[in-house]
Amino acid sequence: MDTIDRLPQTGDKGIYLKQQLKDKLIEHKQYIDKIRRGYAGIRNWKWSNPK
Amino acid sequence: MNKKAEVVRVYLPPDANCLLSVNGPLPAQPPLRQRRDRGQTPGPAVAGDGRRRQALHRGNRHLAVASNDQGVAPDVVMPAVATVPTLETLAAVSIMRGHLPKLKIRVVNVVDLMKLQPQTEHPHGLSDMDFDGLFTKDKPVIFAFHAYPWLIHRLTYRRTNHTTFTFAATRKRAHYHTLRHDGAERPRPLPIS
Repeated sequence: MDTIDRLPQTGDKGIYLKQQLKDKLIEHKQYIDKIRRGYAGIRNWKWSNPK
Repeated sequence: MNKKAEVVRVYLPPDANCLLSVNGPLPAQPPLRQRRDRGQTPGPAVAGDGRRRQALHRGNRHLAVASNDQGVAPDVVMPAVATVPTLETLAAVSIMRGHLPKLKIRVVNVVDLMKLQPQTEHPHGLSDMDFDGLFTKDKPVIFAFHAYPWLIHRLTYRRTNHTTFTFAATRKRAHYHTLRHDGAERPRPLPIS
């Protein structure tokens, strides 16, 4: 999100992505407080080459 | 870090393969004061084969597998130091590349911290030309570093684009809960058995 802040050229798309990420973080925090464990998709995240 | 440049060497490898590679040559130089840190949790391998390991060992280079600025100037440079910050940077890059495909991102894998210092200050230091080539002269640099950011500021204050450096780093104590609140660490609580 810091990166998007520093890249004004990302424009509306960047702002939208930032909002999505913020929502995701809040959602994830609530999940952890409840389940005491991060999302499996996050814990076992692996790099895959973006197309 | 407060010792003389001649005796200080700091290597913060991003994964186990690189740790092996960094560990290799060091015992041959006993009088140096060295610090090699590794993460406390087993992490995934960033570089698999020997060729990549060698490239990583030289350190402070593009991580070509994650960058998409081949042949053009990057919009942003994202250096990462050691295991968890590297993982987080790669995750951030994969999200950004998915959502903002036009963005040209350069990921730089920093292993040898002393390369950030000017050549005149430390024998490992990169020349200004090499440093500008790697970190650009004017593009934003988002540095992932799980320690105090002023250390990097101190090492890079003479560099051309030093003012564009921003940090995803610890600003208080390097402690799990603090990291969580500083936003430098993704919470990863242990399972309750």
